Amino acid sequence: MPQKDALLTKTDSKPPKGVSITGAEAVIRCLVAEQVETIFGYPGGAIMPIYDALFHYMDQVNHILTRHEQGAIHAAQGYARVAGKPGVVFATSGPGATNLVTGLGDAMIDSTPLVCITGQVASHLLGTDAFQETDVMNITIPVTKWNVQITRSEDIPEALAKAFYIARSGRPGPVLVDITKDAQFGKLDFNYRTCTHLRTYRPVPEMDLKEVDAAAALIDASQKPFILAGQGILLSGATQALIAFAEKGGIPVSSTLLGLSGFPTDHPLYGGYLGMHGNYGPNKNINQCDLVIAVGMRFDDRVTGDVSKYALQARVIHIDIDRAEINKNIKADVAILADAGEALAALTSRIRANTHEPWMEKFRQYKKEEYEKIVVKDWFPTTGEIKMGEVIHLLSELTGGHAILVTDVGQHQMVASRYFGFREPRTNITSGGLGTMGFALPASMGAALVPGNKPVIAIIGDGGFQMTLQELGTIFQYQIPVKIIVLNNNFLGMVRQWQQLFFESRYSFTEMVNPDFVKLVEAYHIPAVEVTDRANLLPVLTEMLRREGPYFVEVKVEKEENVFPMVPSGAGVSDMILEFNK
Amino acid sequence: MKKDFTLEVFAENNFNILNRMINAFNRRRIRIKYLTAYEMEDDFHTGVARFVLYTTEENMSKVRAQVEKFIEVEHTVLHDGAEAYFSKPGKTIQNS
Repeated sequence: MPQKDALLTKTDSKPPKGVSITGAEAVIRCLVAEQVETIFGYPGGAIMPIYDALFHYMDQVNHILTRHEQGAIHAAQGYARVAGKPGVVFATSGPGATNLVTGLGDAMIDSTPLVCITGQVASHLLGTDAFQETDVMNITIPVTKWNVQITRSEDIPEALAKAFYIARSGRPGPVLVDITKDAQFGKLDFNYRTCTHLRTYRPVPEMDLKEVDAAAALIDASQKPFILAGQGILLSGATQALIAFAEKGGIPVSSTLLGLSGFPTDHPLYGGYLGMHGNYGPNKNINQCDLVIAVGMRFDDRVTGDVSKYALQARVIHIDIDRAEINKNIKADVAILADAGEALAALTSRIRANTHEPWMEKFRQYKKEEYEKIVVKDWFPTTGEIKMGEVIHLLSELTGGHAILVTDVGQHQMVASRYFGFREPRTNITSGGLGTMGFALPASMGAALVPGNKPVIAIIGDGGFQMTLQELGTIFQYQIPVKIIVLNNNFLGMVRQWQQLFFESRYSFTEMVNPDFVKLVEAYHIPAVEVTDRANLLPVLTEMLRREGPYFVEVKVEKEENVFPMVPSGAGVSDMILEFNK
Repeated sequence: MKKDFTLEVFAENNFNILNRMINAFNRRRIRIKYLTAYEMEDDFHTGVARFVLYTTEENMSKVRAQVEKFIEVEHTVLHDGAEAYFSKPGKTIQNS
C-alpha cells in the first residue's frame, strides 16, 4: 500500500507529464475543477487519504466539520437549496455512510442536488464484514438518483464528473460516490473533463409544441384557471417567467410547500399556500376551478388529500421535467414535458391577455373568511400564552420577507409556511417530502454559508431541535451567523394535535420534559434569550436581527395550540376545516 | 385487474442497475414471476433484464416510467402477457 507516497501530496497545480497523483488528491482536484467552495463532512478511517489530500488544499476549498454525518448532509442540502448548485458531503465508511441515509432520502424526495463522497474499505475486503464495512451501494439505491462504487484510482475523475452532472441536471437529486481506500491511495495521471452528456440520460426532454398549443387553447377557453406552482419554478429559476405568464393570463397562483418563495406572496395574483395546513382559498377553489395548470409539482398527497375527490370538475395541464410524474397521482389532459421556465415562456407567447376578476374575487372572499376566523387570532392575541403565528408574523414584518427561512417539521413549519411573507426565490428551505425532524438546524448552517446578505433564520420546534442540536458545536466553531428560534410548547405538537383530533386526546408519548435550552446554548458560547412574555417578543427579535453572529431565541408558546385550517387525513381538499368541532 | 407483463430493460451494464430495477418493483409490491439478466453477446457494455411482472396496467405504466428514468437505462420494451419472455430465452425480443 503506497501510503507513504500519498502523504507526500499535494502535487503542483499542473503536475508535469509523467507525474501521477493519488486518487485521494484527484478527488480534491475534481472538486476544485467543479468550483466547489464548501464541503460538509466528518472524517474516519476509510476516508483518511481524501482528508489528508484536503489538508493540502485548504487554500482552495473550505471544509466544515460538523458534529454528525446527518448534520453534514442536511447542511449540504441547505447550501444547495440556497445556492442552486450541488452541496458536497464527505463521510467515512460504515456508520459514516449510513448516517447519510436520512439526508439522502430527504434530498431525493425534495429534488436537492448533492454529491456525497464516502470512503470504503479496501477493495479486497469488500464483502468480508471488515471493520466499518457496510454495503452502502445497496443501502442507498432507493435514496439516490445515481450511485457508483470506485475501486480503481483512474476511474475517479470520470465518476466525479458524472456525479456532478447527474446531481445538477434535469430534475436534480443526490448522488453518492463510494471510493475504496486502495483507490484513494492508487496513482493516476489526472485529467479532468466536465461531463455534459451521457448516452443513456436525457435530463431535459424536448418540449412538444403541439402540447403547448393544446395547453394554450385550454387556458384561453378557461373561465376559472388556477396555477399550482411547485419547486420546479425555483429549480428552473422561472419566477419571472411565472409572473409574466400569470399576469398575461390574469391567473391566480398558489404555491406548494416547496414552491413557496417561487412567487411573491404580496403579488395581487397570489392565491395562497396549498396543502393540508395551507390556506383556505386555494384548497377550496381547487374543486371549483375549471382548469388546473400544475407547474413543477408532483401532486403530493399532502396537496391533494383524497385524489378521488380532487379537482374532478377540472381539466389538468401538467408541466414537469420528469416524465414519471405525469399521470402518477393525477391524470393530465395535457402534459408538457419540459423545464418549467421554458414551458411557461412558450405558453406566455401563445395565450391571449386576459383577466378573471369574478374568479379572483372567490380567492379574496376565502382569504377574508380565513383572516377573520383564524389569522386575526393567530397574529394579534392580547391574552394568554404566546402563539406561534404571532412570532412568525412579527418576523415577517421585521424582515419584510427578505430573509431565508429554514424550518424543521411539524406545527411550527406549517405556521411559518402560512405566515411568512416570502418575497424572493430560494428563501424557503424546509424538509417537505420526507418530513425530517432535525433538518432545520444543520440546514440553516449550510444556507448561511452561501455568500449573500439576507439573514438566515431557523424556526424549529423543541422536538426537532433536540434531534440535531449537536450542530450548535459547528455553529460555534465556525461562528455561522444563523438566528435560531425554538418555538417551545413542550410537545411533539403536530402529533399531539392529531391525537387530540383523531385519537380522542390520548396523548401517547408526545409530551416532552425539556432541558434549559438557554443554558444549553450558552454552553456553546452562543448568545441565548428566552421569551415568555409577549411584550418582550418585539425587542428580542429586533435585537436578534441586529446581531451579526449566531443568536438563539427560545419562545415559550401555547402548549396545546392547534394549526388550522386543516384537511383531515384521508379527506378531500374541500373538506378543509377552519376549526375543531368537538 | 392484475395480469402478466413482460418488461425488457436495456441498460448500461453497471453494478447495481439490476438491483435498482428490482427495488422499483418491490417498492410498489409488484410480483416478479420470472427474471433473466444477461450481457448482450456483441456488446458487453449493454445488459438486458427481462421480467415477467404481475400487476395492474396502471401500475405497470407508472413503474415503467420510473425505471426508464434511471441514469443507465437506455430504453424499455413492454409486452402484454408472459409469452414474449419465453419466446427466445436469453435473446433480445424484437421491439413491439
